[in-house]
Amino acid sequence: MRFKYKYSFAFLILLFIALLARPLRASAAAVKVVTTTTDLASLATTIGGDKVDVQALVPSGFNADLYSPRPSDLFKIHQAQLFIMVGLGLEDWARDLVSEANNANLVKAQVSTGIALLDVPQGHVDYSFGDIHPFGNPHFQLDPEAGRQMAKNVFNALAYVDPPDKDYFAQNLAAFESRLTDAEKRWTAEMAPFAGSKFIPYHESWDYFARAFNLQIPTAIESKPGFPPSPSRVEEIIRTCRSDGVRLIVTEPYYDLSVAQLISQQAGIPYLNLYIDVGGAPEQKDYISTIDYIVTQFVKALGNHGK
Amino acid sequence: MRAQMDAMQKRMDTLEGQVAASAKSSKETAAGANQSVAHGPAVANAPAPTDSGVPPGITPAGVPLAPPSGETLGQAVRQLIPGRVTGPQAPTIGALAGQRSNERQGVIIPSIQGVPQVFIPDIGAVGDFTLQQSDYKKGDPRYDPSADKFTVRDTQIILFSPIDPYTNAQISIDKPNNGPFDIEEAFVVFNKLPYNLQVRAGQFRPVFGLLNATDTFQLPIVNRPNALANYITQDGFVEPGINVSTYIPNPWDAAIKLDANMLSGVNTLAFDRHQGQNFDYAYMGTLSYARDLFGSGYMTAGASMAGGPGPGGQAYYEDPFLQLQYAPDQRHILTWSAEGLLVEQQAVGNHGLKRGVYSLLDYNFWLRYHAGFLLDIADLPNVPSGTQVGVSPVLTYFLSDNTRLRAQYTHTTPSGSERSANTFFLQATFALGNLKPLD
Repeated sequence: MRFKYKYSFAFLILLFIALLARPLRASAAAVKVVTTTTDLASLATTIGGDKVDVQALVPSGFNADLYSPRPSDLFKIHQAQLFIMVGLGLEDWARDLVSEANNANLVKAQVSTGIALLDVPQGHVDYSFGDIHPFGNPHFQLDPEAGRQMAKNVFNALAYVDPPDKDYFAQNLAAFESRLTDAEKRWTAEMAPFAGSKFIPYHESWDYFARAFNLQIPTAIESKPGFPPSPSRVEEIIRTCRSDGVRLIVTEPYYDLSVAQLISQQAGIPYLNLYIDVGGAPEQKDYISTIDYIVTQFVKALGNHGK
Repeated sequence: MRAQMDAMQKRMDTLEGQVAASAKSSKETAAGANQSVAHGPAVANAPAPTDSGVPPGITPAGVPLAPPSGETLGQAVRQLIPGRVTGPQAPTIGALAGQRSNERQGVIIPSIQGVPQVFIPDIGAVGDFTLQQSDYKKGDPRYDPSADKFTVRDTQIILFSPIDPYTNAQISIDKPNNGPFDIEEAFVVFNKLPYNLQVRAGQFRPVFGLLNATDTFQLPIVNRPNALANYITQDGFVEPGINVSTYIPNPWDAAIKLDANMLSGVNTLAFDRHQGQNFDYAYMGTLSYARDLFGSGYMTAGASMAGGPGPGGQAYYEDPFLQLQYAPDQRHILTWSAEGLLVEQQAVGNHGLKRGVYSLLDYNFWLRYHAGFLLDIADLPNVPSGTQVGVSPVLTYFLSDNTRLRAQYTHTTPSGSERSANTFFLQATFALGNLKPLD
């Protein structure tokens, strides 16, 4: 018996008509916000409160730089009114998503605006330097002052999309800033004894954290940004740890932990394997608790290892 | 002219000096020691001037996503000055301090006055290099010694850019191994239409099943599976025509997407437009559904259909597909894809109904490695009956976002009297430019 494929076309058309004929679900009043990272989702939820419906594209514990978008991400952006991203080329994949999402009314916001950036390359830039970000290091979320600016930028975006609720957002922003100020005082006091301490991260994700808490980073483990270290590079790092008084190795779970463990063992210093985004570890419930958790781990590791 | 260029350069240096003097703080860490690239001091990512009350950092609806902010004032000024002065070759790294004066002594290459370089399209170029070696024997109809060699299989240049606030455009210029330069794709996309419709016009890869919109060099395996390639060519459908896509509103708030195409039907295996009809187009449609699964994974399922003038009569193609991804973390991502193709070519009698199906399991481990296994079952074309089964283990290594190496072994077993065959492939693919088609 032969298939009659032409009937399948008719079936599809009927299905479409049936779908279109069904009453649509009443759209919720909340502003639909899609963010790239969970940090941004946390800030949008904190400031937007019950006036927003927030979804993050990159799952917690994933590196936004290495993320491959899912087909379902297109639909999230399709439904959104506001799309918030870090910017600075962290989410290269976002441009295609936004342009393919069939959403002509989407407002896009980048939270890097107004932040004092580090690692902005000067002069000629090409891929021989590795996977560098030509507009500056985008991992500024670990600096609480950058977090404050990110929150302001999120507020600006929400107020732009939903002007009637601007005062409500402003109240939430003020409350967040107050909590952040209190937390910052605590973190600064806790980290003060370790000012000037040296640590080596796997990737350049920690430069802003080091700036915020007066730590020093002699180098990073990667041979070039985004490229795993060669054996000779690992040896070089071990030598640097010994000669420069490096006190800590820091990595993130999506990188090769065995390298950090090897350096730690050979150099006789501790290592930390930390998520740097909201939701990575159970304790990292929102932006402030994420930094809180990281500071606590640093204080423990540096404190136990002596100055 | 030279004097004018020098004056512009002086002006640029003065402005850059002012920017450097006003930078808030210097970088306190020395993270770049191993990075072989000079980093400047901390740069205030100053809010861009705004109008119409748009806050800094926000791109209103209807405006294409801006390039990443963070551009220094000096860079912005340099882009606005026509007649950029550059050296005869890229400056050496680490000699940035003395670079400025060297540039002035170099060859002056002014751009066209009044055309700021910021409007240059995004550019990507791709080279796809393969080695194939099979053990087909003389006398076997599949024996083709000319295929067993190193081949620059494909070279492409891809240009992409918004061309106005409502439209993006892409042009891909292709140099396949077996032919001259041609236009692979050239299309405009209208993405600011009512009802969130998106319309694409030109020559493009229409959505058909899971893989058709993917160029051959982007595939997760060396070649398109025989289940598809036997009937829609190794390159898939690349058709001139018009495409409309939209998400279908539905009571379940589900991601159901409709993609419909009216095409010329130029695919050499699937369609034949020379039947003397007045209105002889091919039609293609895809209905798909996608959702998150397992927290950080997803599923997508759907069906594509195509119909049009085939060899001697109408031809119909149906393609159901399913893809599941399980990603407990970013170092362990498991993706399973399955797709079937049903082909009915009315004028080919009993030979006209053909089937093909493939299943591809891909395991992305340690970020850069993919191990895959392809099961590829396809009816043989142009014969009354016969099916070939191929199994292919594949190993892929991404040296970077722009370089990919792959090894694949394929064991093919036909159902008839023909002997089994083994084929080994090596593939090296690279991309350059700011588009990252391998990423």
